[in-house]
Amino acid sequence: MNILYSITIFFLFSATLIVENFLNLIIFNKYISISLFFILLFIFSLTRFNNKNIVPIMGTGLIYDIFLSENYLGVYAIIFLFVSVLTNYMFEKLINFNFKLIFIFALNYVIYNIPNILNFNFFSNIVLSAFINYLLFLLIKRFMRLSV
Amino acid sequence: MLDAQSKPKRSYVLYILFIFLSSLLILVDYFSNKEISSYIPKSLTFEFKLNVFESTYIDSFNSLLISRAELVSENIRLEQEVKNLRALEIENSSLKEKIKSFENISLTKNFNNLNFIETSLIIKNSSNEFLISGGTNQNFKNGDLVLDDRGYAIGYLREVYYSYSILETFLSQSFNIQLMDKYNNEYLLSSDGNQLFLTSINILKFNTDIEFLFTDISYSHSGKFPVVDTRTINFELVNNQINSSFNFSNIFTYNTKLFIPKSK
Repeated sequence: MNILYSITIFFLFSATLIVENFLNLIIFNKYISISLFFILLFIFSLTRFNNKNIVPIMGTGLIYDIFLSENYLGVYAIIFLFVSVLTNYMFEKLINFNFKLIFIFALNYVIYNIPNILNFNFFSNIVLSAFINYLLFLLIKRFMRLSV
Repeated sequence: MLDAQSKPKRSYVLYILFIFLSSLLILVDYFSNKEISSYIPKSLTFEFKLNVFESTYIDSFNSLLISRAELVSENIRLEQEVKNLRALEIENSSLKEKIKSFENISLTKNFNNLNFIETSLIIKNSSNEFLISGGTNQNFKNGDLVLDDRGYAIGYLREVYYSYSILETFLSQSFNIQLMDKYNNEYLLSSDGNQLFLTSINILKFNTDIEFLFTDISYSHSGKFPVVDTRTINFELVNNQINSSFNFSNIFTYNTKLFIPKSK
């Protein structure tokens, strides 16, 4: 059962990651990127965080490293795992304040995009994209009635 | 809204262990010179339907370029270049090396020596690089030029796998390419991901009638294809140097047809 769960989640993550990249190809804007996979990872880290997600997350990262980027094998696996851990840790351990969720979302979004930090417009792009993706996250949260 | 207090303490140990495992993978991949990460893409086959433009269909490709071809008119320009070189040869014997270069260039008089392999964008990754169909199965090689449907070179292949390749374009911050104009002046075009920077490397003769900067076979490119239209940018000689920055003009979209010229 655990294996079936892991395989299902792995395919869900991989498909979302490919859709994310394909969507950004269609949008074709260097300032805006829609990060569906990040939103999914964020939701999983908040609501379904457990050790069974490790292999699917790492597997998706390796798929990205192998097929969709020129990075060394394991770079995105680390980023995805780290984002997942940090999201859950901050959500659990940080004291409650008004903008806690958006703060965690934005910080992890920066980490998610850390391979592009040398990009000239990194921070201006990140602000716009983080905002748009956070709105998307809120929409999905409302649609799925998530209790976060 | 933030209902955190009821959740049990999590164990992050396994996550951290897998992060270390991934770090180990990076190390192994680094010391194997990316052998591991490129093994699967180089051996896995995704079959894409690619149209190879044989010489009998070359006219149909030329028709795509007709508006620009009339302006640039490859043969006329090359003939003009040869004339200019002959004049320069009389004036200055030190330019003989450049004349040889021109003679080499003049070997590529038309597109009949080239096949144009049609390809298309598949995906754009987070580093603003594009995956395109076709790889070593189509004899693509690192550095092969990629043209849009107007005949402009929009980038080159950075990494080639078995059935797909990674395309480096103006949008990528590590993009840089050497170019030449019709007076054999040499330039370097680079990008920071936001703007393009044009810097002259070697100015032999500058004139205001330079309209296009081209790729060139002397840089191991497959032919002469326009990259920059100098009439649309700030293109002035200052202190015998040209330094110009400008925004991307050759914007292509996900449905733009792309072609890779390959020598027959």
